[in-house]
This record gives sequence, structure tokens and C-alpha cells, in this order.
Amino acid sequence: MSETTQTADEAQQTRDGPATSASVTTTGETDEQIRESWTDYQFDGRAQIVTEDLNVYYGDDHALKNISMEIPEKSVTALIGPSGCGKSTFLRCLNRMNDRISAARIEGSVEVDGREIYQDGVNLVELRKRVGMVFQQPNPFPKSIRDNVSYGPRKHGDIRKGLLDRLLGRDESEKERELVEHALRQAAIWDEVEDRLDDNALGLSGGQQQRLCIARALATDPDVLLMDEPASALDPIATSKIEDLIHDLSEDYTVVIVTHNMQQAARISDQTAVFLTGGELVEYDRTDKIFENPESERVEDYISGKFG
Amino acid sequence: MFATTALTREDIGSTVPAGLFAAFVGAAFLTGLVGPSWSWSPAIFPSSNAVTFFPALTVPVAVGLCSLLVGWSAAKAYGGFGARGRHLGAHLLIYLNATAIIAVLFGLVAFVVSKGLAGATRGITVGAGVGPEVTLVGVTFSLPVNWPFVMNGVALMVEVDGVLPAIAGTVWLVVGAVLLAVPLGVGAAIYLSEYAAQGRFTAVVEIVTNGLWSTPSIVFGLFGAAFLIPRFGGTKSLLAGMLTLGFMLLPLVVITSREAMLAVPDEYRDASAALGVSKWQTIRSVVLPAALPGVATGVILGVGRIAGETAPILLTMAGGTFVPGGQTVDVIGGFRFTATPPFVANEALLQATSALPYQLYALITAGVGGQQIGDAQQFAWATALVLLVVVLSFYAVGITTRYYFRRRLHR
Ligand SMILES: Nc1ncnc2c1ncn2[C@@H]1O[C@H](COP(=O)(O)OP(=O)(O)O)[C@@H](O)[C@H]1O
Ligand SMILES: [Mg+2]
Repeated sequence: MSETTQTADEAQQTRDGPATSASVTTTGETDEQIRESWTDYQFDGRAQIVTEDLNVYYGDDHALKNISMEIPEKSVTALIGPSGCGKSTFLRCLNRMNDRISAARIEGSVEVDGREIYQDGVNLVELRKRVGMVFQQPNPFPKSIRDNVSYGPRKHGDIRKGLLDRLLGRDESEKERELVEHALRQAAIWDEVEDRLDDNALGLSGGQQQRLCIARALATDPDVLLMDEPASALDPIATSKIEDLIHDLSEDYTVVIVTHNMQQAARISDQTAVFLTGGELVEYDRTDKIFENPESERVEDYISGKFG
Repeated sequence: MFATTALTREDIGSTVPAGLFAAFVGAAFLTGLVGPSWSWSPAIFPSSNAVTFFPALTVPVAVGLCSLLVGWSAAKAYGGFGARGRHLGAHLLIYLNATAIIAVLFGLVAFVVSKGLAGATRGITVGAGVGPEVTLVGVTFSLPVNWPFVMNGVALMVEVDGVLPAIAGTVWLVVGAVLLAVPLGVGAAIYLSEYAAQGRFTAVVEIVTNGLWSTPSIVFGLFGAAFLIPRFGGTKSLLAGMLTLGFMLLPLVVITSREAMLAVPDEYRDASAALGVSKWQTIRSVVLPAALPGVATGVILGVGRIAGETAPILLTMAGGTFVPGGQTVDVIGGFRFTATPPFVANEALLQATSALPYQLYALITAGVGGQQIGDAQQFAWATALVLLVVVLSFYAVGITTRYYFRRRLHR
């Protein structure tokens, strides 16, 4: 409780500090003030991802408006808000998956580890190896569990395996075995699949498939994990396993998770960003502050279930 | 009055007329009204092309119709009329229909087998060293089976004449056509489904490929004769036949492969892209494997069509009617390396060769009593049987391949 006040105090102090870049298109005077009070969300440690004046358009549809936020490393950041408010769009900006949507146009800046990702000459392969992604529907490939996990490293040439490599005497099956086991252990699914690594992944349950997808993303050794409603297609038990897993992963990884489930956000995240209809980031702060004492009335209404 | 009230009721309305009709037809046959010498020429047809119905056709058709009708009404009565009765009646009709189709199919195969089996199996002997000598990977040995009809050609010296050259011709023909059409067709499908923007262009290509697939085979044959043959030395050749059939097969491979690739969920592509894997690698390692069963289905259907095709072969590669064994095409042994570009040559590909459907056609048009052959009719039926077996074997190979690809996806 005292910490919360302190954060608010800090926000008070920084209000008159260097001008913030957000709040260009805000309409109401009060919104503007509220926004300034939280834009400089303070946290210990380093910022892994920094977005500045990020705007996304789908054709004429302005889906994200001037999003500026800093995401601290090795923590869980939840993005909540009503559906259609741009949470997935924001997440896809962070590993440039929006490039795959031809109608999408992105303006503004996103820095990962201090390096701008929206500029010429950025290596998309390296970026996506560093910033992994897990989708709403579990989407393992119709391959064996082992091949699913080692897919990324093999395609990137980090593991050599196959007929040609066997003939050339540089087969790295042992390295693959270690990597697969490591990733599956990290994703807390090793015990369930260790004796059927050669079975097809489509034979797993939904929750197991989703943890396999997390293992697949971990296998390329990322720093950041983006998750778009990873548990929304799962039953409560599978969901709670995923939540425990996310908590464990946040020791080593920066996790950014979209969820429409506010209890989930409250349970697992360190900070929460609330997007509201129209693609605005309305409030971003420590999770307990957002849920106990939000600055914005709209956020309070949303969290108490009055709309959205 | 009776008709309008009783016949609209479901129970009497459907069973009584059916029963009356069946009784009438039965009576007509029994009383000899419609006897063996009966015939009926409807007056509505002008006398220049009069149509006459004879009992040989009329009686089975009438009996079939009556049994369908009576069976249907009986099933309705059994089901107690109402929804359940109609349900049973409809089921019975569908069931009989399906059985009839399968029966016709089996009847056809059984007919060809019964006619051709004697000729095709004449002189089979089993035992060590009785068969012809073959050389495999440098080792020469005698096959333990001698099956003259499929291992001989036609010659004065042999006891049983055979169709080996035509079998070899058909097999190579199909292999060549598949080798041409599958890489080209799958490549085109990859471009159409993964790279080209779905829109007017792909729609036009789809219409054109569908049109090509429906193009009569004789048109492909003409194309081969007029365009390909002059470019391959001016004579009919195996290569011209392969290319012509390959072009025939191409549109179906494109259509089915494209559909199979469009059916691969986008989630796989997203997952792969999110791992930083390039588009081409994603196609190779995820999209193609998932689409392969569909591609295989297309190839199976297409091969079923081209393997039995006669018209294009007639125009592009026809050999003779009675082909000596010495003319068996040897594609693998025919390769020669040359000092000038393109450095490989294959005379076997450039020779006219026989194929089963063409040989069958030639046998029939040559008429019974070919000079060189004892029983030409038996020879022709045996050829038909072998053609059937060869086509069915291609099916078997295709279906096994597809099963293998499916299993890899699901197990
Ligand atoms: N591929 C797309 N093409 C066009 N518009 C899109 C696309 N994806 C999302 N949008 C639009 O962008 C807005 C935000 O969508 P999204 O990011 O999916 O919201 P959320 O994940 O919060 O539910 C919505 O209005 C949606 O219609
Ligand atoms: Mg979403």
C-alpha cells in the first residue's frame, strides 16, 4: 500500500519533468492530466521494450493511437481491455508480425534492447528469435513433439540434422536431444511427454499443446515472450498450469501477455496496461495500483465491470 | 371420388397403386401378353429412325422397376408409415441404389476377368530358373516365375504371345507424365496459393486450369502431333507421348495441389513466421508436408485417367498391333552420354513404342483373325485384363503413398 503511494508520488514529481511524448490526440482536458500522471511509470531495472508514439492503421482504420510505454525486463506485463481495442495489434508490433498483414501501416518507434526494430536493415530472423510469440489457439505443427520443439533451431541452422548431415558426419542429434529436453522442462511439460517425443503433437490435449508451443518458442533462446490470450481456449486446470508457468518464466524472460481475464492479469502480472476502445492506452502502472486505485475513471469503470 | 380421397392418404395411397402396378406387370408377363416374341414400336418416332422395344430389354427393366416400387412401399408399411415409414422407404431406395452401382462395377471387372483370365495366364510356370533372365544392379539371374503373356512379345518362335512391350510402354508413359506434371504442377500451385495475391489473376488461372482439365484428350493428342512430334525428329515417340500425357495431367495436379495448400491452416504459417523462419522454408517444411496427401489424391485421379488414354497415344507414340518382344522399350539402358550438349541422349525415348490401351484399340480395329496370332480375341481380352490390372496397380501405389503421407501428419 505504501509502495503504491510512493509510485503515485513519483508520478506527481515527474509531472513537471521533461515533456512526455504521449497524449497528442487526447480529447478531454482531464484525460490529458490523468495520462500525464502515469505516463512515466517508474520501475526498477532496465527497460526491455520501449515504444514511442506508436500508431497502427489498417487501411483507414486507426487501430492504435500514440502508444508510448516502457516494458521492464524479466517481469510480466499484462495488456487488458475490451475486445477490438488493439491489444493483439500492439503485441504484433513488438515482433513485427504486423508486417504479414498487407493492410497494416505502422508509424512511430519500437526499441528492443535499445535498438530500433522499425528501420531498414533490421534482421527479422534475429528479431523473432529474440522475441518469441505464443498464440491464442495452440498451433503445434502436425509433426512429432521433438520436431516441433527443434523446428526453429533446425531451420536457423543451429542444429544440423538430416540425411546429408549424417553422411557428412556432423549430425547433431545429441545437441537436439539436450535442447528439446531443456525447452520442454522450462515449459513444464517434460514429465508428460518424455516417453513419447516421437508421437504427433496433435495427439496432445489443448493445454499440453499450448505448453508445447511455449517450449517451441523457448527453443530459439529468446529474451522476450509475447503471449496473446494463451489460456483463453483452455479449461481452468490447464489455465492454472499456464499461469504458474508464466510466473516461473518471468524470472528469466520478459513476458508480455494479452488477456481479457482481469483476475488473470491481477494474479500473474507485475504491471498492467489498460487499452480502451479506439486503440488508446488509457493507463499503465503497477498491477496492484491499477486494480486498487486507478487514476482514470474509465479504467475504474472497466475494471469494476461497468462496461467493456 | 375414390381416387381423390383414398390415394391422398399415405398408407393406402402409396401401397395400393404400387401393388396394382406390380400385379399388372406380372399378369402381362404371365399371360403371355408380353412374351418372347413381343415387340413394341412407339408411333411417335418417325419411321426413318423407328425405335422398337424387345422383351430382352423390357422385361428386366420392368421387373427392376416393380421390385423397387414394391420394396419401397413395403418398407414404408414395415416402418408403420408416417415419418418413420418414409425414412425406411428412402433408406431402402438409397441402399438398393448403392448396391446396384457396386454390383455394376464388380460385374464389369468380373466380366473382363472371366474373358481375359484364360489368355492372360496361359503357360504360367513356377520354379527355380524357369523365367527369363534379368540383370539387376549387375547381377544376372533367372526369375522363378515364367508368365509368358506379360513377359513375352509377339513372335513366331514363342509358344504364347505376350504384351510385354505394351506394358513397359504404359509404365514408362505414366512415369514420364508424372515426372513432368508433378514438379511443374506443384510449383505452379505453390506460386498460386502462397505468393500470388488472391484476386482476379488467380481466379482466371483457376478457370483456365479447370478448362484444360476438361479438354478432350484428342485435342491434347493433336497438340502433341502438330507441335511436339516435329520437334523430336518428326516421328512418333515415347517422349512425345510422355509430354502429351504430362500436359494432360498438369491441370489436375495444379487444381488439387492448390486446394490442398489453401486448406493448410494459416496458424501454421503464423507459428513458423513467429519463429523467424523464412517463407520459403515454411512452405518446404510445413505447408508442403501438410498438403501432400491432397497432392497425392490429385495425382492418383489424374493417373487413373491418363493411363487408359488412347487417343493421344494414337497420335503421338503408337507402335504396332503385334509387337515383338525385342521392341520392349528400355529407357534406363537407353541413356547415352554424348560429347555435345545436352550431353545425354536416349534413343529409347525417341522411338515409337506401344502402350496397352493403344494395342487394345489396334487389336480390335485389326479385327479377329490376325495372321500372326492364334486366338486374336483371347489375346485382346487378355490385354484388356492386363490394362485393368496395370491401372489398378497405379491406384494402389498412389493410395499407399497418400496413406503414408497422412500417417506422417497424424501419428
Ligand atoms: N488483419 C486486420 N485487418 C484489418 N483490421 C484489423 C486486423 N486485425 C485487427 N484489425 C482491427 O484492429 C482493431 C484492433 O484489433 P485487435 O488488435 O485484434 O484487438 P484485440 O486484440 O484487442 O481484440 C479492431 O478494430 C480490428 O477490427
Ligand atoms: Mg486479440
